[in-house]
Amino acid sequence: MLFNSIPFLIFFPIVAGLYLLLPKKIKPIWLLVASYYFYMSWNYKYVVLILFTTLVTYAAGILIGKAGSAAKKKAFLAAGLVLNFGLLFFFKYFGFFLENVSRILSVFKIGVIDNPFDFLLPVGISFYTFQAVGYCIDVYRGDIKAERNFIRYALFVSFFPQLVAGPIERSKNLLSQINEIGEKKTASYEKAVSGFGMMLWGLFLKMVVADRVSIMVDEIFKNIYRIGTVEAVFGAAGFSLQIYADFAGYSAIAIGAASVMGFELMENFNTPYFATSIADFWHRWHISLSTWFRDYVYIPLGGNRKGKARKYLNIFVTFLVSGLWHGASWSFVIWGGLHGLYQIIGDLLKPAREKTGKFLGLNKDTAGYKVGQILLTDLLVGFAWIFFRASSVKQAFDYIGRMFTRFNPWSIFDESLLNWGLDYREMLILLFAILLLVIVSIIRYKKGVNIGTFLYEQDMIFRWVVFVLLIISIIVFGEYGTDFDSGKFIYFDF
Amino acid sequence: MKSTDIPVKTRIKRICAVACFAALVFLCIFGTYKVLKWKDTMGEYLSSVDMLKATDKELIDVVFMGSSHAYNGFNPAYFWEDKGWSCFDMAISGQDATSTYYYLKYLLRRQSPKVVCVDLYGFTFDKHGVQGNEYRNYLSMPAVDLQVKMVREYVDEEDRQDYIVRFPIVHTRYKELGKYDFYNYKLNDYIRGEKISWTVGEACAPESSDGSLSPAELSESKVKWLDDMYELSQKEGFSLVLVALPYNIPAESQEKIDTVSKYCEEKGIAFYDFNRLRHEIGFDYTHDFVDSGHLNTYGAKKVEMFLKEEFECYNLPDHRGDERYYQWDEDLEYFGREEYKNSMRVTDDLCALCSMICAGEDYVSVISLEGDYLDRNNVYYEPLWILGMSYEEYEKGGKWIFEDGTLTKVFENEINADPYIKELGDMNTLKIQYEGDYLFRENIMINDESVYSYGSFMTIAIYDKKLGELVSVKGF
Repeated sequence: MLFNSIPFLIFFPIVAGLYLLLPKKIKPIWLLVASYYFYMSWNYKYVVLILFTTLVTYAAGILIGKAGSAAKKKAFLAAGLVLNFGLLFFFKYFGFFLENVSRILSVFKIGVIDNPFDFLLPVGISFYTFQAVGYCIDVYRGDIKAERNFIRYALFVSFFPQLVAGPIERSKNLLSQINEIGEKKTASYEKAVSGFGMMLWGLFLKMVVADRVSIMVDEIFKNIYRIGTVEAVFGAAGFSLQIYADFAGYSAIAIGAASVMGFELMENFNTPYFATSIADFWHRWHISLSTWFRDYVYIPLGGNRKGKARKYLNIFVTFLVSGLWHGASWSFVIWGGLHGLYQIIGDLLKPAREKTGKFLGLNKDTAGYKVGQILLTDLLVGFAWIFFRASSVKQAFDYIGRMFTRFNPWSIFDESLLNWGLDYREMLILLFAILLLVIVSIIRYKKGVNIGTFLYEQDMIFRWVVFVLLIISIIVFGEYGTDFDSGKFIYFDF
Repeated sequence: MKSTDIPVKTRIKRICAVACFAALVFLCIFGTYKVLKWKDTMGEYLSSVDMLKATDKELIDVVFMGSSHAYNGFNPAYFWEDKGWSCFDMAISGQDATSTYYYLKYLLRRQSPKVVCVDLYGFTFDKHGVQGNEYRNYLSMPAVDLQVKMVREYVDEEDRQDYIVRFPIVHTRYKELGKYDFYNYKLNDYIRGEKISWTVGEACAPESSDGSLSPAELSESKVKWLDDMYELSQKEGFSLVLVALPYNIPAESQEKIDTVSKYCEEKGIAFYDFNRLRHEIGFDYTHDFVDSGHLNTYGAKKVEMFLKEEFECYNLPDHRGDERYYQWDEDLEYFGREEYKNSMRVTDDLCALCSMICAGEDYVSVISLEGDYLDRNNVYYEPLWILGMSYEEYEKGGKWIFEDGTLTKVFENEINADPYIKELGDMNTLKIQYEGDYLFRENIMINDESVYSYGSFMTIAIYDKKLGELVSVKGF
């Protein structure tokens, strides 16, 4: 059940409406039932997996909490991690692993190993596994107490707004809110209105922006041997926009849907393309995942506490793992590695950059300097996205090769860019939508509030006009229905 | 603050705000749907559903159901003119059997026809070959309950949701919106579902319809459809008539029609296969068809001549003179104008054209004389004299408007002179100007379209005020 689908349009108001009306004791059970129904709507068989993850981490949490010695705690934690990551490995990485083993074996002329399993990747497995594992580590560290109420814990793992594509919640935030159900009032008019606004904005990003630009991006990536420099740059820039609008759109709907029911999920995006460095970018992009890796991988590896060389190694390893988290493919590993390298090189060149800046008399406080930093960061991020989007490492390198082939700037003006799936009218709609996205991003950047909260703070007439315009834009200009196959949200595959 | 701490006034205000917002959203979505909805059931913004809605209840005596074969082949204006029977074409392009059944049920909610005459073209195929026809049939049904049922019966499961909600399909129409998505197409109110076409095209007589009947076994769904139609006729008390209008029918379809023939014989249902009756009726395959699939208005006349005799047995009343049936009168008037329009279009005789302009009502005609027209031995003068032009005026040249029996000069052929502008109803604007002699297309325009005969010394453009459309542009 996609957020941008008719079943969700029916499902959500019923679930949220009943949740707000039901007696306190029933609320968590109702949400749990709804969450499992939501998950099973993709493939009912995979409910076994989420149940397994829930049971294992629930038991691990209790056992870690009860364990008398540090060694026992460690053992229970290790068992929990091995079982959960084992499951994730089996479903997500086993095929990739066998493929690479086969490649190595073929070098030594030893036969290929066929994958005996042919599973579809269970939707959201990376997300809920990380969330549940994070809970075990939190209990192990003593940051929270083990949850004894199974219903509430199961709801924490399966809470439907963020179940399949995040934000990857921390137990300290979401589990504590679930425990407050029935104890104090969490839902409010303010949260409902701002949540509704967030949901509309998310749908607009996904259906009007992401799915529209994806038509052009898909066409360009499908025909890379026909494209030249200008098309290749447009394709890469288009994908930068697509993935942001797609994933930020999903997150906005998730956060908004939770907010309507009175839950506050963590922020997942904070104007990432306004970042002035790669490190800054990762403070703003997929925040729930980057902070997860920071808290549960980078810092346990030693972070920056063990010297520069170790720090660089930790950064590099963290980003390689992050790349692998996104998908079982070398192109994702390279994408992660590139982001690690960017940061290491950036740090290494810092003294030289500062000296050059001084020499040239550059003033860091000027808007021009900042814009330059932002553009350079976006350029690096956009370049790395090519590996993320390409279907293989070879295709990514071929694509980069096309960026240096047939340099014809005139194609920007001769309307040939309109031959890639978006005609003049569609391009105009896209440009208007991008303009709106820039305005909303500036509001977020300057005021520090999300669009839902910003709209709630405006007067009612303005808010209603914006809501109605968003609804009509989504209905009319959204990409959906017959003759359109957007597939799903990009991050569902992770 | 606990929920109970919220003042009652604030609560009521919020509830009212939510309700008002919901109403506002509903209205906006409804308004958007009205613009985007599928309006075209015959390819020209003519919708039999809209026409049916505009017809008062319990007026229709004979309903013709079917596809484009039906709206081309059954002309209610002929029946009204000859017999005073209130006939109506509930026809939609590509109307399939399922669609026929449910549109008939929809019609029966507002009307109690005595005769329901169904063309069987839709019976001969299972699925539409043209996507647009599927949309026409399954997105035009106004009754939600019937639409859900017909969609469940016909549309594949994975697409049903899109058809029922409609927006997933119709929202893409933002790419093709035209002026009639925002304005009502005036003719919807009074024509009775027929399509009037004077085009004469090539058609072949169907060889598969010769010889004895060769019935084939029908699928379960086809038999069920026949049973359902028969039961409906028994339940609602109308006489069911099944016909196969003439076209170049393939052998496989003819076999199905032959099977229906036997079914009708068993059940006592009136049945006419016009392909087999073609010799008796005298269809002329070089004159009576638009193309190999459809009759033109001449062919429709032959169908009417045959059916009006056959329908005598139903004792249908003559409603001519009854004010409640004004739409049939207007339909006949409309048909008359179309006939007149066709005469003006086909004639190449300038004198005859000017006589028709003179005799016609509610036309605006623009007459333009430019260039070396005087070198043509006054060939234009005699016809223009019929419209009331003096020789002095003729010699000067320029542009005239003939309206309501009066000829008025509105423009001298002067370059850079301000254009003459005339509003033609709510939708169209006439602009007359002079950019140079007879080789400048923009000397006569309606809206942004040239209605000027390029390269001619004389142009006559005729606009029908009543139909709101350009009738003809002739160059001499």
